Amino acid sequence: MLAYDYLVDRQPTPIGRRVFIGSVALGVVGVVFGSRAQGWLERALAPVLEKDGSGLSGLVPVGRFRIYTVTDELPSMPKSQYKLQVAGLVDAPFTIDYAGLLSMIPTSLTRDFQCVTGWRVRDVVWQGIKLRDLLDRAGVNAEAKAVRFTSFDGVYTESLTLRQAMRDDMLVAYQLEGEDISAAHGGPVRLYAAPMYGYKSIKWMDRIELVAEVEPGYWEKRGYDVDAWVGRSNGRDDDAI
Amino acid sequence: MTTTQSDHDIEPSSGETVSGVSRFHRAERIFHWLNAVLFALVMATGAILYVGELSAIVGRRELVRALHVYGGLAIAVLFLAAVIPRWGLPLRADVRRLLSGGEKFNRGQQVNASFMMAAVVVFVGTGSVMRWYEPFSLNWRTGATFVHDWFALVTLLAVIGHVVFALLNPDSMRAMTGRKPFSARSRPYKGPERAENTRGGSAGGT
Repeated sequence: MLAYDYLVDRQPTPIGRRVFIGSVALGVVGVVFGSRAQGWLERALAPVLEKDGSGLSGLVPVGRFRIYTVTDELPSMPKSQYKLQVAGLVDAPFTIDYAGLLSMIPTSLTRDFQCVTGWRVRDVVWQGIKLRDLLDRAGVNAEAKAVRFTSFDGVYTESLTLRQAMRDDMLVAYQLEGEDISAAHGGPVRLYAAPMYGYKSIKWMDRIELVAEVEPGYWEKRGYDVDAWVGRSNGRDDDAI
Repeated sequence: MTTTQSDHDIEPSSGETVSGVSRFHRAERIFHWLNAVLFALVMATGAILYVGELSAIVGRRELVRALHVYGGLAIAVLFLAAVIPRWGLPLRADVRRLLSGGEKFNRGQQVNASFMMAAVVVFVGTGSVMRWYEPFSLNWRTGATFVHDWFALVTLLAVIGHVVFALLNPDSMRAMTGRKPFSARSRPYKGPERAENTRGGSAGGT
């Protein structure tokens, strides 16, 4: 029909309106079904993207991490200089270096990484040690009710209740997708709070402090919920993904 | 408006003295270049927010995000210029030509501009879900991010196409810079009654 219109030079069909309505409709459908479509697309594109050597495939909008920094520059520290303090309301405060963390019993977790603003990376493989192992080693005092985390970027802080911190899915992570965690992803060592939104998984972590009460962290002072359960916080009460 | 007049007079001479027909009204040209600057801003800041390597180099995410969000909202506000009674008249007339067809714009221009108008609606909608996420379910937030990302990719291609076509057609560039009207040697828009002769020729940057 379009071709015919062209041939006889009729008033062409209003293609602009179709494109406009079609594009807006696609956008609306995409919002409603996009999280499912993203999953299909990731599976469909996985074989193609794996074989692509150009590096461009990393820019395709399926399951990408966004790199958040809260300071002006990307914090980075060589593994050889890295030290993690465990202190506060504990029997025996201690400092552990990168090699020391590697010598502890490792735990792996494969979970979706979910940002509160909507981006999601599926089936991310993390490796590290359980947070509770470090806390047990320090010996938590009775008056300790919360854990405060500090980043060596000098700004980023986070908190968990002691009960949350003792969960088996709270990792002090040093590997992401089978590789050492890069500076962009919060390496050499970061928290991975699996059941919570991404902002709880503090990057560039260098201090764990046992305290008497939860203190809102960097993002919580900017309006995010302290108890950041995926699906059950930040304005909604949905089932977790 | 001058954009539709067909009985223009073109002197056979050349240079700045040529009197011709303005393809776009001054209000449209101002709108276009403001829009272009704002688009450059949201595309640059969007790339910084999206590409991890760039995020790492630039840092200052809060600032970049604010520029991106308010730049995007400024585009939405700019589009409201079309509803200003007098100023918006040429804009409204051309939006109608882009959406409903007609002879002023070729089909490539109609498709490109209509997609861009839809994209602005989609970006503002999905961007708002991402920025003011609280009322929206997690699936909608994820869906909005997904749509925002894919539309950005297609929009990037559309913008590249637009700029390439504009650069390949100096007359179209002149039509939008307003420095010089169509010269006698170019193939100006001649009005609907003679459209069959000019359809290819009047087409410039989409």
